[in-house]
Amino acid sequence: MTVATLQRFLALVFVALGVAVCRGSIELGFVNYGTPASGLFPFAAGILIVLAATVLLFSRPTEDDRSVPALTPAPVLFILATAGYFLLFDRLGTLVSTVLFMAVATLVLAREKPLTVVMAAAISVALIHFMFSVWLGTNLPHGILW
Amino acid sequence: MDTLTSLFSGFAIALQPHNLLALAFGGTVGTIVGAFPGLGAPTAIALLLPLTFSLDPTSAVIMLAGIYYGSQFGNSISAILLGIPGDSASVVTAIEGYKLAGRGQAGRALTIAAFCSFAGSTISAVLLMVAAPLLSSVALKFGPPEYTALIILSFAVLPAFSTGDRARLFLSLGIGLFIATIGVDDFTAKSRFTMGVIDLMSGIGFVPAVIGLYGIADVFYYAGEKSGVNHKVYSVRLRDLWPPLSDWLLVRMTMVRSSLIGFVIGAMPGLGATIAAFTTYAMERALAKKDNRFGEGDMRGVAAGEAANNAAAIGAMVPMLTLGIPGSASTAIMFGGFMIWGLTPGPMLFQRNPDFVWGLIASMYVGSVFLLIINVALVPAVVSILRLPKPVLRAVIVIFCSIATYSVNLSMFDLWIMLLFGVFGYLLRLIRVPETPIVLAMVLQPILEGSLRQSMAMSDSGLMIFLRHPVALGLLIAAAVSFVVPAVIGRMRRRATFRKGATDGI
Repeated sequence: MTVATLQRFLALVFVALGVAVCRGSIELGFVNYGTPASGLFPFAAGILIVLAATVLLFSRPTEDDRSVPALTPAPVLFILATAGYFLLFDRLGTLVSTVLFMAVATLVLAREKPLTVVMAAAISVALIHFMFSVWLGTNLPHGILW
Repeated sequence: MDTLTSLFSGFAIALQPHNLLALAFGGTVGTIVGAFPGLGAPTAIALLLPLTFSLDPTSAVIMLAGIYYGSQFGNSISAILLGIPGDSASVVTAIEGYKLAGRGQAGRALTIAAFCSFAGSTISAVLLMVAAPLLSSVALKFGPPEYTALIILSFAVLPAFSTGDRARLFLSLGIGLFIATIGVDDFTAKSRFTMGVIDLMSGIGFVPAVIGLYGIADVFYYAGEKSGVNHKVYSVRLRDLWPPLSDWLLVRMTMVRSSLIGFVIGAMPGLGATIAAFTTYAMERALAKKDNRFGEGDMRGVAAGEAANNAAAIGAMVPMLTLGIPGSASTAIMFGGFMIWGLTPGPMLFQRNPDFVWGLIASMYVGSVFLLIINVALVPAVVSILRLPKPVLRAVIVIFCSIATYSVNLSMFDLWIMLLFGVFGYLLRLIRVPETPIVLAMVLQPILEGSLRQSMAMSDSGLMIFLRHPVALGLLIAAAVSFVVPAVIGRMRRRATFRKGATDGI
């Protein structure tokens, strides 16, 4: 998918979002005893989104936008790895899920040297533990560890 | 005299050991984060905002300010040594600084950049100290109509100074305005766009949204890059850091001029460090004699960019502290922090929380000196951090963002919101839609809605109230002019270019 195609697709999504926001706003009402009601501001926001997205939809893409691919596999895989990290965050606990995420993001997705990854993982986990659990006293999920 | 007394009491607060520690921590972390290519001041502040919630508001704002100044200083390191600006405000530094590094003058350029950043921050802090109390005493007379008009003005000036096109900017603004309305309306108690989700009743959390839009979106955006740095990374030894006298003489007036102009530009809502850096760079190029080396590595280019962007960073605090209007993405995120700490930025801040405001102002002086020292001393250490493999850095940033976001409310929902905003910010970046208007709208929309409602409630003739308040009317006229004039000028320029092209063709 090129940048131009992505732009057109997102512009369409935003037009649909703007229309939905405007419809929802109408139900909330615009004026309430002479003052703006709950629907006035979202309605204005919806109109702004529809107008701007329509201009974007019909704007002429540049040469680069027509040829440069927008969505490459690396960011998409990184997004999926992050989503997986959050799914496991409170099930396995912060420590285990963080180490797993670090391994996937660096060893699997980027093929970094294992020694660098182990050192970086150890330092970052220790720093994060000190900063959040010791200094700030945050109760992070323990998960399966204890 | 009052100002001096307040400043001394501010120093007494800023120099307390725990505040010095907060400043040192913020400044160091800000410098390191700012030095990473692509990570600018807003990202640094968003990333570390949750850490401030356990501190008292004065220490918290001093730490955030330290992160803010530190990231401005740190940007110059990657700009000079890698040729990759930390953010758009240090593009000018990258243009000239990287060429200087190529000629073996990286150390000199880094020291000049640090000193000019110091000069920009210090001159700006003096100007802020004079201007802010005056402006806040004027702003005390502002009522709801004036505030409504002021916020409309700050939205209206956005396109005038934006580098992107208006459609993208307004799309971003519209999305921000919509996001800000999600949740239960405080005035009518009606749910707006919550879709029955209880977690959305109190609205979209500011912290997960900004960390997603800046920290996480940055990581996703740069995840497509290959490991390692493509540019040549210049190293620097401590003994090469001190510039010769000729360099100091060359940049001395540039430093002063750029600091003054940078402050003025930064203090205007909607403008910012990037515009300040480019304006002063263009001015210095125009003022330079024929023997200049602008474009090929000129020390004055580095001096102009760094003095101006640091001066503008402090200037941007003027509208936030005095009017309660954030002038940039960084101050918008700080503004969100103020609200979370239970403080309302604006003219009453000087009356109700003098310790907080003057502690912050004094920390600007202390922070400038501290950052000057660490930026010269820490350069070799920062260079070795910049050489770390990027995938490792990216994973560490995601982990840090996630735990920081989770720690605020111990909520998994916040993590998913952060991821959603991260993906959203990444997609917006791919199609060049700026994210700053979203953050500005998220911060300003509730104030705009509240002050418009108050204005209408106190009016017996509807919108005519804005005509009866001269300041509000003036601000609205200024908003209309700022909105219309640049569009008309742009259209006239395009038409003139088209006509010229047609004539040349004939």
